[in-house]
Amino acid sequence: MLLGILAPLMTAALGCTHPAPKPSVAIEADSLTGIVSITGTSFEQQLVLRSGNTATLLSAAPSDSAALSRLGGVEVLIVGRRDRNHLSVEHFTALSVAGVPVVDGVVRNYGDRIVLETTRGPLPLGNPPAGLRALTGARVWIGGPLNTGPNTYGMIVPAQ
Amino acid sequence: MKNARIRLVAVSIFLTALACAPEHRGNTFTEPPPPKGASVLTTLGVSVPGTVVVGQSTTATVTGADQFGTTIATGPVVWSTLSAAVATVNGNGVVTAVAPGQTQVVATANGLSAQAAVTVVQVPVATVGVTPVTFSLVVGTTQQLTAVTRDAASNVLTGRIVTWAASDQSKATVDANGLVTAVAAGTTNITATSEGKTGAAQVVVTSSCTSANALQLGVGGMHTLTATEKAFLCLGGGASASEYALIPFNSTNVAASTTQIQITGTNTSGIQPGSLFSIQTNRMTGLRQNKRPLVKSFEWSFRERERRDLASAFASVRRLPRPTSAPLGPRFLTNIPASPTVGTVVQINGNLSGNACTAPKVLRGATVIAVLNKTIVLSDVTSPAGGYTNQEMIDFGTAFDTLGYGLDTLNFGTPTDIDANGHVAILFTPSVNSIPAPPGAVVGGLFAGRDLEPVGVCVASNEGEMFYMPVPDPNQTINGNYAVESEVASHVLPTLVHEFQHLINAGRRQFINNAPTAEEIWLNEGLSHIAEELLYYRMSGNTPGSNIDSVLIRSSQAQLDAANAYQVDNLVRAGLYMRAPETNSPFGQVDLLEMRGAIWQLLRYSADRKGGVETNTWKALVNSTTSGQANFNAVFGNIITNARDMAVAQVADDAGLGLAANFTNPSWNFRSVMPLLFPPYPLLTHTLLSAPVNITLYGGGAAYLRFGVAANTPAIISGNASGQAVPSAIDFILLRTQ
Repeated sequence: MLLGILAPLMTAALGCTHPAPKPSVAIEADSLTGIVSITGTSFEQQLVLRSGNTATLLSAAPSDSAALSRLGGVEVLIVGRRDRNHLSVEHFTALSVAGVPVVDGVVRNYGDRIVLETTRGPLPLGNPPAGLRALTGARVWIGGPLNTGPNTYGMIVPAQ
Repeated sequence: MKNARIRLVAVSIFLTALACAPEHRGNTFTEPPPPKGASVLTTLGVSVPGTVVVGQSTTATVTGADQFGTTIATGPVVWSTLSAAVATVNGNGVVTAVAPGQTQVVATANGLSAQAAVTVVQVPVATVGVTPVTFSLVVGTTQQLTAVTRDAASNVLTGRIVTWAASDQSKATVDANGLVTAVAAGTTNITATSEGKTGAAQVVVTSSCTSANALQLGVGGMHTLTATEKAFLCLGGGASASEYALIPFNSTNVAASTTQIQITGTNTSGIQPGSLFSIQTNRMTGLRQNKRPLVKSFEWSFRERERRDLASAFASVRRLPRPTSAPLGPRFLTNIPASPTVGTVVQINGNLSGNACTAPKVLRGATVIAVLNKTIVLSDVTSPAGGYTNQEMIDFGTAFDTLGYGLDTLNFGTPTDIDANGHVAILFTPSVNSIPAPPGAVVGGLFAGRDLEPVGVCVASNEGEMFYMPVPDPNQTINGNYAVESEVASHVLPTLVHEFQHLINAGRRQFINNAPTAEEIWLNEGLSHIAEELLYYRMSGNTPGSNIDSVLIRSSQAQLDAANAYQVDNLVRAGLYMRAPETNSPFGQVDLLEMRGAIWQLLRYSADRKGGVETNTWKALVNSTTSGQANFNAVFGNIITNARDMAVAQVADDAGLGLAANFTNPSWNFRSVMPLLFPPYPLLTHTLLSAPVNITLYGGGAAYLRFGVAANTPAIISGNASGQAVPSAIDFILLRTQ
């Protein structure tokens, strides 16, 4: 945590005399991409992010834990704070499923059009499967061409 | 002088009159210049974007200039349009387009007026979608296509002119309304164009679907459909009627990946009574489902709490120095002495509510009931009255000590001994009874990974190999779920071998094999269910690979008792999975009983398929440094291949179809056994007739569609996903069953 605060300050200071300072290593380390897996037993579960041969243990608030546990097998980008050997999750985004890129967002239904609200703006869904239409208000990931379909999808957070 | 005044007034009146008679100059109006020296508004100009889309607004601007050409304020402006049906304008000059057409926006200020033309156009078409996107037709048949025009925001645009065209009219034609007529065999594209935007569909025209060109399979014949066949398959129609099972299988290795497909049959019929799946066995008293479902998947909110601290603890322990050579030495202090004396009371943290790792210890006195060869039996002094006797607990411990311990170590490996007492402790405690569970359900028992961690990183740890088991509560002092002792007792030994696998797995991965993480839950739980099955084999005298059927199970009271005591839970979970194979997966990440049934079936199927010494197979899975699918794949080969072939076996095994060994379950005749629990057979099936069958498939999920084809009348099977081609990840496996 301390490193995460100091490193950007140091970088900024160095930037006064050195051109093009590199991004803070600490900040990069706080963002991890990998595939989520849920390990342990039914009684005791751990969330793990696998990236190549590296496994990083995740800790998260209960709501995020529940969401991440639905993303088992999904490649995600996790932003958080590294605390020794585990990453404390602050937020995350689904990236790909079985190697196919996906979009992470909330399903909205505006009359006859279905839109996926993402952090980069709304994305209209031209031909969503019926099951996806029923998930209005839910955070999901969607794969396949959004304009024409067919689309695969998976639940991240159910509609409230 | 007076005349001079009169002349001046007359000139002024004249000039004023001139000033009040503005001259029209295009969209500006200019008054004659006022007397020199005073700045007066003489020119008014209006500016509006020339084109506005229906429903959108724009703002008109007005400018004014004096007689010197200097820009000055216009003062209050009154806005209007010549046709409010085309566009309206409000008091601020905001023009709103109403309908396609042209009009003028007029501004009036200080007696001057100016206007500007506005053209309103309709919302442009951004995309044209055609459905279905891919389809097949037999020569001479037709298909109505639908084109939907949308704007850039995906709003549907109605009333737009669409022009249809076929790229190769020798194969198919399309009329002005989108009706496609198949002309000759081949492939062509159909396009729909509106305002320069085009959508397309592809039609595959087959010469015809006749018995001569239909796919013919013999009974037991199996065929995996090509991409083209998934869209259109001409089938059967031979000299005799035939029946089929079509098995769509989602080969995505992410269980949560959901795909929806639609399958339609033409000229298909229902299956005949008495054919596959309709076999009614002679039912008699046999297997029974436990009245109280065994719950090893705990309440969701409880698990969420577990996850945070256990992750942290595991990470910390991984940094501890590991032993470099066997035997393992003691690492931590422990609450259980190495050689406890029977009758003494030791202090054990029995807090199983809240966070298992960091929740504060709630020490409970535990009386040492027995010290056996490998097992220490402990009884919580706070257990409700009327529960197990000491002898009953000793009997449980002895059964585990003489049977379960050896069984699991033979198959999964030797457990760790972090407390260096050479024993595994079994604590019978009402703490388990208090774990939240659905009404009427029981928690059979548990192993807590926290107890393998040092208290330095996991404060709640008991620092030793141990299990927690529930106790009978006949007076229902805690809840009503454990009131019947015989029901509670019936779970003890199966639960102990189940939990012992977890203990061996966790300890060996963490301290002996240096695996970077614990095993994934679906595989970990599947292995523990295999442990239960192995106990069944030991107790029944049966062996894997012997195709156990209902006749064998009911051949003696001992056989029936063994099945009811040690295997029925596996069969029930498998039955639950078979009831919902489309939306469950053997490698599902959400811990459900259906997933448990699926992974038990898959592990059994895969071990039978692999062959060899089975203990080596299980040991390989437990003693791996990889986990999840990577671990499975290394031992059995690709999990998707195994799961897909097992999906076929669900319908094909023991059906007299003579399929290859890969499509059989050598150890179990589920077709014979399952009707004892789920008559007539639990596998979810759909009848494929002319009405479309909509299916939702999870990764690793399978669906089963049954249909018949009459003699001399071939059928057409066609599938799509949202009106488009079925994704390549969805396999269609066709099996002729009769």
